[in-house]
Amino acid sequence: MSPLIVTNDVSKRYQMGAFDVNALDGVSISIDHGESVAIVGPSGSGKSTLMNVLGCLDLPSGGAYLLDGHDVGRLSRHKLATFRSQMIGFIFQNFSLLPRATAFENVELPLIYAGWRGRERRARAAEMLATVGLADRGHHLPSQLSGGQQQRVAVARALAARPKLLLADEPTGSLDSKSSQSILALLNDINSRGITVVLITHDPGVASEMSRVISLHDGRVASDEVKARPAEQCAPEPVLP
Amino acid sequence: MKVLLNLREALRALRANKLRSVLTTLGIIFGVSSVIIMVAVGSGTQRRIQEEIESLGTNMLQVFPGAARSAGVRLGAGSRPTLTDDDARAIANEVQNIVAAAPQVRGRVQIVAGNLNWATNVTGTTEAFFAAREWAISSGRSFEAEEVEMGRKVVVLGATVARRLFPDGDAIDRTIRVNHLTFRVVGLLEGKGQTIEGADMDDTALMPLITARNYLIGRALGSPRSVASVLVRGEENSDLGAVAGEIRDILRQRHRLLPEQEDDFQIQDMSEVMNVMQASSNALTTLLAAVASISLLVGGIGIMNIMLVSVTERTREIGIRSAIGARPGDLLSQFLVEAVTLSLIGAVIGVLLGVAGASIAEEMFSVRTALTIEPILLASGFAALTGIVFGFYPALKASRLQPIEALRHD
Repeated sequence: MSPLIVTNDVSKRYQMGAFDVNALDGVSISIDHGESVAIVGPSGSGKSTLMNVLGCLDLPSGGAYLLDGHDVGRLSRHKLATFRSQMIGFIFQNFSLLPRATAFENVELPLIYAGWRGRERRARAAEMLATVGLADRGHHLPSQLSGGQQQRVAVARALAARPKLLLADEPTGSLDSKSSQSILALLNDINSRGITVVLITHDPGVASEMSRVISLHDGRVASDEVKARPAEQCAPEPVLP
Repeated sequence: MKVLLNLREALRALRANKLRSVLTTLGIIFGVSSVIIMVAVGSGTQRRIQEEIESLGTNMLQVFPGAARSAGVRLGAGSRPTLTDDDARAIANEVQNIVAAAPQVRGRVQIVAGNLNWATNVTGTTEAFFAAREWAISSGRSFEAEEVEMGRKVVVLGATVARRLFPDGDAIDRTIRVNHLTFRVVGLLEGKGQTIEGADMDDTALMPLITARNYLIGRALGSPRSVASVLVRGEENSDLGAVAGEIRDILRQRHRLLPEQEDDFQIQDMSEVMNVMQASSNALTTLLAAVASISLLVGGIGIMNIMLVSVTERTREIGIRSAIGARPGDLLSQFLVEAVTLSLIGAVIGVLLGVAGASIAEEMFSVRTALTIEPILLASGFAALTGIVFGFYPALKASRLQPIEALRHD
């Protein structure tokens, strides 16, 4: 099986006033199906830009990006969105739930865009809420949930449409340590079911939970280490029923 | 299915800003309701004119005697008794393309029947009157030629007079008294309703010309054979101008007028008056509808304005939606449905207000209105179209936002 993610000398330049900023400068990485990867680096190292490119939210200005064998750089906006809808689930630092929609409706939303129909869609949304342990909170608005619960809803939403890749941008950045631990355990559990997890963090503790750490510096790959999976050894109390 | 979900989203977004949504729809509400009220008032007026034309009969000319001139002082129309029943007969016999020509004399009399009495206008005329006015008999009969010729004391009553004098309803062959003379009721006229000025056309009585002149109103006229007017009805689709020309020639000849002399009579074309009224009321309706449509347009601009604000406010939401798989088309339809929902809610309230407003106008200001389905459909359709047209640009703007720019937005 070919790797899920292949970037070949990917670069991204921004025009900032009179300056050209090279946010990414020749990044070549390859991530296999089922890996769990942390992308680390100081701010300004280009990790957010890499995440946007990997998530098909932004197109590289140079080089090639192949996601599951498809050359993303050649896709139209419509195709790109369809691709996101089928392949990728996003988790953001600030949860990014729609504030006026209930938890259930938030989880339902990607299914709507992916074209799931009525009963099937509602069953899937309910199932996903149950998976993250919030079956009884479906009708709550995000403002009525704690930060940890909101991020769980976001995880359920990200996984609803059966993506192959879960992208998380500082998923624990707004959480206390207990909630952080349970979210990380959840991500590891997801990964153990075969979904590739790529997360961005500046927290070494979070990065150490992943099996591979890629560190960026000034838009280039500074180091790329694969470790033994630590998840089995130091998993906190099980979070999934 | 997608539309229903979009509708759910739209209603949620509109509910989140209730006051703003209500204020925005006000433009559409007033636009739609004013279109409906204006068109209702306009077509009510038109219908009234239509009925007027129908009740008077179309293709009508009326000939009046001319104004008297004595030592340079010109008196009004009819002040010179120049028109006689012989003129009427000549018109009836000689003019082409006419259905009937009926001479008329008029007067006001007090009619007594039993212990009831009623003042009304009496018209002395001939049996040609019924054809000339296209006025049917509802019961009994019209005059016979012999009665007109001999001046028999028979009378045909208008519906109002019959109701006033014979409340029990049975008027045929009963007698009435006018100036201590006895007349026999031979027929009743069909009800015609009101004229455009509000006069009751059914408040009238008809009797043979000679009868009226001899017994009731002869003294008022200068000459024993003169008439107040001659009513001429042209054939269907005949050229009334040509008919009027012929009448003029015949009358000038009969009155022995020299070429340099003015006409001593006037010919009035009734249909022309009606056409002018109809045309002006048409123009009025169009004008009212146009003015009302402009307010609908202004309402549309209000929607566009608020949708642009909404798109800007919800930039981050748009970013989240595109990250989790919304295609540009999904975002376009979401915001379009929201704009159309806004305008359709306005349209529904506007229709209700418009219908209510039209009935209030009819009740309180006694304006004649006519509510038809066309302006209602037209105004609602136009409102929906307004939503689509003015909602399109903001929706397009939303769909064109770059996902990362939108996500960066707070």
